[in-house]
Amino acid sequence: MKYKIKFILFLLTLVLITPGCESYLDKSIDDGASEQIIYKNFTTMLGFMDRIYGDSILVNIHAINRYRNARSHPGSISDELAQLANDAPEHFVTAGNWLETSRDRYEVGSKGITSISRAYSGLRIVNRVINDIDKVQVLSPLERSYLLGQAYFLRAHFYFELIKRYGGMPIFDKLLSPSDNLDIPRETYLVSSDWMITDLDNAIKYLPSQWPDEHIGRPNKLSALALKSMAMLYAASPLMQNGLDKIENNGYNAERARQAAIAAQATIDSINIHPYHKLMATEEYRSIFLMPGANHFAQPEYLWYLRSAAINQSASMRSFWITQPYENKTGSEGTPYSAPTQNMVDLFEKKGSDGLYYPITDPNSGYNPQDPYKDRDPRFSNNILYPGEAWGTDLSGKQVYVPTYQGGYSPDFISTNLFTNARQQTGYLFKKYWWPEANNTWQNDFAKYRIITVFIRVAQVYLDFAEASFEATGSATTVIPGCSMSALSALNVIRNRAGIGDLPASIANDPAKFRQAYRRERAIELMCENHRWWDIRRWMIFDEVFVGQHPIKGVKAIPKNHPYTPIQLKSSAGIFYKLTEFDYEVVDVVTEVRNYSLRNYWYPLPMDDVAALHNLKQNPGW
Amino acid sequence: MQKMKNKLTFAFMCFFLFCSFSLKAQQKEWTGQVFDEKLNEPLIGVSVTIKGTTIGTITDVNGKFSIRAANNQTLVFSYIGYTSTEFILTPDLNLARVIMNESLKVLDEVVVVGYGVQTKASSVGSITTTKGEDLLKVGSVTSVSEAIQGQMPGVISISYTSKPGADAADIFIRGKSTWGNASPLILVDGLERDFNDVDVNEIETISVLKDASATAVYGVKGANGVILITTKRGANKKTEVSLTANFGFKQPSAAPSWADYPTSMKMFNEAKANDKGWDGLIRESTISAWENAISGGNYGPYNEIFPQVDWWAETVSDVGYQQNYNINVSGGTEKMKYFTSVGYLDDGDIYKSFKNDKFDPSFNYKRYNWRSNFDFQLTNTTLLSLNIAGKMGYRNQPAFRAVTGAPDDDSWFFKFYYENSYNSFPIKYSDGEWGAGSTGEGNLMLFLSETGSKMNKSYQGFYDIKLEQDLKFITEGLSMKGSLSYTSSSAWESTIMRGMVMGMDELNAINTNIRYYREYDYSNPILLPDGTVTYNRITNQRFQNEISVGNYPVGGSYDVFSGYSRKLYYELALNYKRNFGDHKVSGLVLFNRKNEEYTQGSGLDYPVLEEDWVSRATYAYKDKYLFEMNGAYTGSEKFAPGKRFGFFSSYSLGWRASEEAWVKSLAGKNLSNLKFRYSYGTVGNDKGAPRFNYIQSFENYPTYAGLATFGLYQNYVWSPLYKEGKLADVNATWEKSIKQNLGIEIGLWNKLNISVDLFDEQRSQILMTRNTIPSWLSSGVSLPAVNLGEVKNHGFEIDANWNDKIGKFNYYIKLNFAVSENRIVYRDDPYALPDYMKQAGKPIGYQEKYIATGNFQSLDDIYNSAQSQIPGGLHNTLIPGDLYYIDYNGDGIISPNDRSPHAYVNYPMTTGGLTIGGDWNGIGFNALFYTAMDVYKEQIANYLWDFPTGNIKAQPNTLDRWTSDKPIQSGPVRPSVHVNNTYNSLGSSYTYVSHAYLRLKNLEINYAIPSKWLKFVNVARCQVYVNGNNIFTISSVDSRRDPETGGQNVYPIIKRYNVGFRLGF
Repeated sequence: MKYKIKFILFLLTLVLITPGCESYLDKSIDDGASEQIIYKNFTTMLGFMDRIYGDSILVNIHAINRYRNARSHPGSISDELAQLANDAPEHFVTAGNWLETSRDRYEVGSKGITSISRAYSGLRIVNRVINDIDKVQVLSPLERSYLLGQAYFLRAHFYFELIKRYGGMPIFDKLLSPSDNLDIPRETYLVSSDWMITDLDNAIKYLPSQWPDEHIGRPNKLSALALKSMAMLYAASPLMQNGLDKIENNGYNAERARQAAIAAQATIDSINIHPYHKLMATEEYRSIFLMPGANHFAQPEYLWYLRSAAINQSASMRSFWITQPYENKTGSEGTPYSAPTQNMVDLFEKKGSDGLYYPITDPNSGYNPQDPYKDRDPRFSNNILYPGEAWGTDLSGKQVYVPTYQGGYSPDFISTNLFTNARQQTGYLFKKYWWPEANNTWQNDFAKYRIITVFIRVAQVYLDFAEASFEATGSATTVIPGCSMSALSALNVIRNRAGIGDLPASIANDPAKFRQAYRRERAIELMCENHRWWDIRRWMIFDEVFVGQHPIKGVKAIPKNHPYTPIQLKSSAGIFYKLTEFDYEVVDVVTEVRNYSLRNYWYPLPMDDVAALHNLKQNPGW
Repeated sequence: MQKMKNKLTFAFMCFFLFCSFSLKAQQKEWTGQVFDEKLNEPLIGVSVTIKGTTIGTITDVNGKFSIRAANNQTLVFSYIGYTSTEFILTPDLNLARVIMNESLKVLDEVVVVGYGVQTKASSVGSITTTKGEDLLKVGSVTSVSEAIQGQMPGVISISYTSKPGADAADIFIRGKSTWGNASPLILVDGLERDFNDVDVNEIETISVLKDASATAVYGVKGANGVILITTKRGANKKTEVSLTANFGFKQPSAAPSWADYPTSMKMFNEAKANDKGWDGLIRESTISAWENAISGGNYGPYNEIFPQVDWWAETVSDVGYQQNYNINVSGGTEKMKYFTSVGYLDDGDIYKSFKNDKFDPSFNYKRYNWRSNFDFQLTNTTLLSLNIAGKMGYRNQPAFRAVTGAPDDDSWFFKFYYENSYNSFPIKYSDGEWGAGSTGEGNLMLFLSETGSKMNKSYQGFYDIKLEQDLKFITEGLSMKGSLSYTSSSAWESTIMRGMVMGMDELNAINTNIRYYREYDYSNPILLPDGTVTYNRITNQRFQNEISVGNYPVGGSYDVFSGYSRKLYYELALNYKRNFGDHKVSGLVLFNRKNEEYTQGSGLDYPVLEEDWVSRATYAYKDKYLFEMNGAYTGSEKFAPGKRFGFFSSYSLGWRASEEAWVKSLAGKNLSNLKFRYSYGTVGNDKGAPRFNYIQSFENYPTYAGLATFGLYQNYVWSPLYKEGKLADVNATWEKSIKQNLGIEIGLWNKLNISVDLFDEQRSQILMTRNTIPSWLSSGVSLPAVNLGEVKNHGFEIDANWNDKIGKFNYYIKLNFAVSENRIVYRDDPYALPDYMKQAGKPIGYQEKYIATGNFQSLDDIYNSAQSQIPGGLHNTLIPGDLYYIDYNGDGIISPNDRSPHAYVNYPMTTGGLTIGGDWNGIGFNALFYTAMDVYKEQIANYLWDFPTGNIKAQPNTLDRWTSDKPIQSGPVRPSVHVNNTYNSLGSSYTYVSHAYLRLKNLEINYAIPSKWLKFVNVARCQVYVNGNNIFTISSVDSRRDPETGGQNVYPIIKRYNVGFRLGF
């Protein structure tokens, strides 16, 4: 009995010293602490937002969709470029059925490092900054405006990336969590755009006019003004007037165009008084795209750009633009490239006998198809290499010529190479982002110039103004109240800077011709700067741009009066042969299709999303 | 320090070993003979001991014994399978005919259940057991997980590799009920421990708990089933020493082979032409030069101009070796019982050895196991048990390049057998320089012999102390048990690096071997004056420089600590068991906690904590009607406070119909057992759940991934950058499983035992990332797992065995067969997806494949077919002979949406094992056939498509390709050859094929040497045996692949042949 009591006591003690259940498990890591990492002060919060600049969330268009070694440029789904890689993702985009396209692939996809996916990532980051700015423990008013100004600007930037592809989207002004109601209905483009512009107004309020030196490259007040005028021009454009149900072309919204013109005028006024930013001079034109030297990270003309782009210029730029034998790479990453089209070449104006520049279709231009490159807009020789053109030297100083003519080394190589043999060349190479020294065959001088992604530069603001002012008034010469110039005078600023002088009066006075003129100017001035594809969509001019079964054209330059055998021309030594006389023939590039219809003006929302959400309305036609 | 510890352990073991031999007293000699009751034949090897001492003997070949003992002492006769008999020695006692009765196995057999044991008769759970002695016959496989393959129904074990020291198999029980972690809870003597390295000689039983009745006590950890490994303990009997020695030979079960080189070259040209790649064709002169060389025998692994290296033959030896030895001693007295065991395993290599004085670049594993289990009867009511066990393992391998980061990443090495070129360079050139491929890689001989080696050393110690106190002074039938367990394991790694080899960089690499890639111009033969032909060397590329030839620096590290784990576990239990007339009652209340501290290399991880409260009550009326209830309140620290603890319970009923009088009168003696049992219960699974899923984290963004830089004329780098970590789900908790089991056990004629189990499981709350999160939330952030998924799983198992004898031939047949079938019920599929794209309704792990119905016969076929979005699949790049895929959704485009779900998954749904064995006059045999059915896998791509990685190496059946002149087949045939196989090699019904197989898993033939021959050497029994493992396999899969293997990047599956003996004295 004594034992019994002792044992019962013993058992009771054991139970008592055992701490209450559950609390034993609480020794593990607990929640709440880790948020403090970023809510400490200005630097930590900025470090959270700065990932946008460092982690490809701002998309570098010179390396966009790094699928297959960067050689995919958005220009090659518009009429700017042809793509010479057999398996390039563009071919599925140009085939038109974008719903079937893998979602991490290229421009229309919404996963991986596509612009759409990056935009969502960016929105999440800046929404946290805007929502939780008051949680930052130590923050001065200036630091607060630095953070908020950038956050509002970037929210508008990323949202614009979405709506210019999808049309109107839900308003993403909250930090979403998986337990929130995610089945948010879409708004129309105009509602979306107006919300975005309130963000830009906030950004204009908070952002400094010029950053301290160590911050230069972040968006400033001018960036916000310029993006606002661009966004307002988009909102005035024909495509954007559509609701979510159908797509039709009812022309511009004149009132919105007027507001866009006023916004552009405000931007230009601010540029004019800015100590640094300006429209660069005619002599400096080439260095807008090729920044000289290793210690040059921006140009005064850049208003909004990706300062910290860290791309491998040697590999990715080469495979973007250059064919064998200019680059010394082999295999899938070396052989294909993006080739400018005859369609773009035809847009460059020609100097007529009166000294004025006319489109080549204008009889005043005196255009001769058998001497096609004579007296063209100086930007032609800035942007494009034509067959037989002299282009740099080899290491020994020997002159090299572009071998893209019929029977030359380049077509032969393209047609026999495993990675390009299903494609057809256009005859042209791209020069705007390339320099002769940057090539393995020659000096391998990849550091001589720097190329970065420029989202908005000064010239664009003038072109935005010209379009907005014209479409608001229907006249090239009318000056909108509150503005200091007409559409024509804004356009002439850009023409004169390019060296082609004022627009001839015969064109300026004809509204139909003037519309073509500002659109042509935009295509040439902003060629391959990630505008043309969005422009032809917002203008709704697929029918005008992509004509016939093979809308993309190239040139067949047939050499004549030269001493070389066909085998010699075909050989790699052919690049040293100076050929001067050719018969020119414009040909269909039969491998390029542009199978776009009305539905292709907006991208389809991903099938998974539409299948998962009851309220998410798919775009018409998909 | 570690060595010291080992020594101490060993000394301790020896001490107890010697304690057990006590001195004999000088007493009278007793003699007699022991007989079997039924057969009336002498029984050999019966243990005869004096109660309370360790003195004893065993009966000889005639069943006779003699022992010295005093009057009034008690003699105990014991023999496995027989009821022990005792005699008090009196002067007139006649021992001339001691009769022993066979024990009624079915009734008295006990089974190990969660936190206790039960008699098999009263058990209502679905539990299968296998004995350690059965595992000893499986051909000396080195890991327990592989040894149990085919032994028990519903236990599926898959070995993907036979790499020495790393050949553990994947185990799951009753198929899969979750797409998360489906592996069972495995306990060694009650604690989660690494069981693969437990020496099979130490194992008493392995008990597999399958239904809720058996597993509910494990609560949040039990839903995937539980495997309990119980080690041997001593018994009150004479000291018995057994010694097992095994010597094994091993060979890979499959080997690669390829088409000859001229054929490969010709097919390469055909493939190039098919790809329209006119730039890389091989000249006819080259092909004919090779043809001449090969017909003239002028080629080989060291031929400079015509190199041909069969890397497999050069590096894999004909036979590898393995040895294992175990000696164990067991016995005991009333007061103290012991089992001690020491084992050694040396698992050798099938690769040739390139050992040198600096390092040993071979695959091998050496393991030392030790165990001492003691039971001390401290008082009449107090039992103290003490287990000390452990192992040291030394795993050696050539120095892998940690290319993808994982220290044991085999993917870099083994793939070369599939991908390497055979004919582009010799092993060594005539001038003694190493050969290499055009990028400096690919010389496996160089790799194996020169790169160095890596040794992983691992130590495990298991320490248990248990105290059982009978509390009958409080109330009859009450007892208490307390236990404390400690497990420690630690690991070290040593590497010896000879430097950078084959172009692959390595942390400790200092230097490299010189390699050359040389090319010859076969189109211009040069006739030498002596009549021989030679060729101009056109390429002579040298890779890497070295400091001084022949004196390579050796870098490396010695015994770098790479991780440890310490587990402390304590348990307190109250047991109650009492009979009240026809009513039998038992109960259990138990509490335990676990704390595991661990680290993997750097930094201490947060300790893992667990806590369980367990209870069980059983009731039996007249041993006929059985009822059992189990409950567990268990917790897991993986979840948020408030979501950590759950209550799990099970209820089971049993009816032993064979005990009913009316059944007895109907069936008579034919029916020895008929039992029905049913259980229902809930169990949980937290195994796949990520830790701290409930916490939102932020991380430093690595600067190498991209910098934020600003400044006009200079770079200002802004850092650190931060990144949002995975989003949190504060509601996350365990998977919940509702299990039902219906079992029928039938015993007939005391020979045949059949048990059939039908089971059904509903698993819900499976943690998963939602599939209906729109892009605007899922981009750029990781989503948390939420408890959403549901799976149902059902199946049946049959376990039958027949034991009988024909004259002196005893034999047994055991058959087990299990089928399971699972279906995803809910996985958050987007509502508007077509059904074939939804995951619901399909088995876990189902694969989506294109359906290849044939080959394009003509260009018309191609252009009339749907356009394809597959790379290389555009109309203008396809050629006749390429595979024709069905446009499954009929939208006119072949795209990933045309992949349709395949009926079979890549783990077996049906498994079976058939064991046949017997013995006659000391000659015995045991054979196990194992089959895994309904299993499909993707074929190894490098065995399917010619020219792996572009090398000129064709498959042996390359000529079976489609050609226009062959008759059209009903299904797809081998497509046209390509160098770029992107299109044809997509996962399709052509590449995803059945990998079902039937295999003679084990075969043993043994012979027990008659004990009359053994008397002179004082040995009681001696059995010699030959056995083998994976002896032959029947399968429809490519014979160059073992159907069980994981793929190309693993150490091959091997066959083993062993000879050995088992000795007892």
